[in-house]
Amino acid sequence: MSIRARLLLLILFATLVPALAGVFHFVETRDAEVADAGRRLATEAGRVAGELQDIIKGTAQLHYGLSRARDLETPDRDTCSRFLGNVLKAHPQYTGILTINPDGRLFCDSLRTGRDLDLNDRRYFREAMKSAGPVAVEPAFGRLTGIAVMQVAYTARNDAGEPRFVLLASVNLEQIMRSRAKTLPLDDAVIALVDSAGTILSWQPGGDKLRGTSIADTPLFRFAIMQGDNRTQTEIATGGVSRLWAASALPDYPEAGLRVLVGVTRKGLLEEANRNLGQSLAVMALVLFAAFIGAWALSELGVRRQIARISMALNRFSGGDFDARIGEPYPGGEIGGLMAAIDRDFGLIQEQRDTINRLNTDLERRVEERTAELEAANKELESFCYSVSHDLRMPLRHIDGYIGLLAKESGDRLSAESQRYLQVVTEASRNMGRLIDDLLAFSRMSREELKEERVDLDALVKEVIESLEPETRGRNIVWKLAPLPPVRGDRSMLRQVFANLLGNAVKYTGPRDPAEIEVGCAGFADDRRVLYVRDNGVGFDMQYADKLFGVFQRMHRADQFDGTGIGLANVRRIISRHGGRVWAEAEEERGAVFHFTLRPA
Amino acid sequence: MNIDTLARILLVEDNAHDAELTMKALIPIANEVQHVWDGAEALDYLHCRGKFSGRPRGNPAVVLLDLKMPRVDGVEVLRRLKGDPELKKVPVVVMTSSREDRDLNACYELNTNAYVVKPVNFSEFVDAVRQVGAFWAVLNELPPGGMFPGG
Repeated sequence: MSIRARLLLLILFATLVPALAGVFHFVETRDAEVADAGRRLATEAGRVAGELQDIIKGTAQLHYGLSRARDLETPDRDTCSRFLGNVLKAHPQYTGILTINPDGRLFCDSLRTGRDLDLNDRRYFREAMKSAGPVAVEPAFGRLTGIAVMQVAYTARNDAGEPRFVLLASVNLEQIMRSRAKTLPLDDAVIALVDSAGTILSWQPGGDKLRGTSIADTPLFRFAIMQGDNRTQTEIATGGVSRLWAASALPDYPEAGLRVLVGVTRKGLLEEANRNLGQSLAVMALVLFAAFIGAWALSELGVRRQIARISMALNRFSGGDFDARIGEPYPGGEIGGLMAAIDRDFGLIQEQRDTINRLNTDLERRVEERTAELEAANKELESFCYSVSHDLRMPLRHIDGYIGLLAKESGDRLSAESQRYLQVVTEASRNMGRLIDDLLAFSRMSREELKEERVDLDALVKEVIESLEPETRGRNIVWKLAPLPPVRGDRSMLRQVFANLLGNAVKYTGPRDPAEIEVGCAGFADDRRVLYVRDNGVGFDMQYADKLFGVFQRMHRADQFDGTGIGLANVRRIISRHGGRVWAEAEEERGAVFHFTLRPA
Repeated sequence: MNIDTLARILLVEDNAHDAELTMKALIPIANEVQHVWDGAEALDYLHCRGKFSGRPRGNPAVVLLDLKMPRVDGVEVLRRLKGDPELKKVPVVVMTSSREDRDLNACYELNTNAYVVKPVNFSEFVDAVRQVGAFWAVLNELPPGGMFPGG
């Protein structure tokens, strides 16, 4: 996962927790708002009911005032009606005001229709005539207008208490409801007025079709007529819409049987709260987005780009471009410090590399010099050997030649002792000739190139033993030959090794009858085969073992065992040229064993 | 040695002792031996020039050639001899103390007829010289072309 993704994830987590807390808080706030809205519904219902009561009371006062007005004393209907018409103009909350004679006939009418109506059967008339109270109240639908009105009736009496006439004012409920609907405290709220029979008198807004319909059998009506304090709010579905309702009666005028209902859909109720929540969420989202952008910018500019620069420089550097650097500008803080440190390290590494290159060049030059020196030394040695082979042999030949001539021409005139002297000189010169030959062979072998191949040691040993026939003739030798593994090496050189070791074994077992000579393989050492040649010969003192492989080093007197002392030096030279080693163990008069190692084939 | 007679054997040897010992060894098989002291003299002899301009014509039956000599060495003599259309048929036996590979190779590269290492042991030396002399000067049949005037 990239650093930027990690940082953004971190920021996401860091902002998500407060965001969730915020959302939880908003939801709680909204619940409180909903409860508050319910309370406001109940308050509104109560307020509208109070208003209606105030209107009734106001109407009662109007009636009282009118009952004392002289204009209504007149028997002239027309004058009376005109007067009432003027009153109506001043009180637009009424659909009409009229007077009814005690016999029940309509007398004057603010609408000045001039009609004759018998209103004896009207409940408000009868109630008013009966009532000692100020008013009789009855909700109804206007005969002409069809809208809901509240009939407020008052019986004007003379001093004797006999009815003079009944005043009736029709309060325009529809108008009141319409105006109240405009000031409802919640969007999507409705206000309704229901009479005691469950008939909807008004339903605002948009409830004109419901006017006059009955809700008598609905839960809403049962809720509306319920007594007690628990009438504040409940949720009831009407006409397919579920609303939260609050209801209020007119406590001062229970005979009117009016109920004010204020309802709001849950959606409407929540709308405002939701709007608040939405705004809060939007602000939070904006803040979150800004935080994200900020974090992205910070991580992109401050972290990811810098790390990309670092990794690009590292890649170039490890790809062999040692001039690669991250370079200025270094940002502040740890990353900048890291970049500067990496650049410093790049510089150090480049310096070290330059140093190493310089040393390598120097070393190569010195190796070349040494090689040239070695080659020169080798050449010198070669010409030295060449000279030795020519110049050392020549005087020997002359000594031997002239001693020969002397012996031949004057031998019979010399004493026996003198002849022995000549013999000694001859042998000495011949021995020296052999030494020179061996030395030359040794040096030639050292210079010869190694031609490595797979060598079958069994066949090689057999061959060498056959070549030793002149030395072994007439001897009683028991050969113990174990099967030998094939090895890698120069065949002719390895032949020389076995010739020397087996030749020595034959030579130094001279006094033994039977002589026992054993050739075998003793496993591995340093990943190489360990081979050995063992004999039961005269052996040697181990304290001189370190001299054993030196040139011209001998363990025995020349008159006991002949030889020049070059054989084992040759063996060691050959084995070490093959990368192996050779060592010997022996005990005087008990025999010797020579070990050497060779690479397996 | 009489330089007026044609030697059957030309001995090229800078060392007086070697020369003497070789001559002693050759006595029983050939008395017609011409000894010269270095390669330059050998070439003069073979080309009948310088002090050998008056010698009888014809080539020796064999040249016994030492390698290490002052002035012109044996290898150079061999090169000139074998590079000369007239002289290349003359058999050359290199007789030297050296058994170094590079000498052997050089000589056989130049078509020497034989290469003999002088033994240190005198009797062996005598045997070797006699055998070589006898083979090349007595037994060996040379290609036709009249090496010796009058045969």
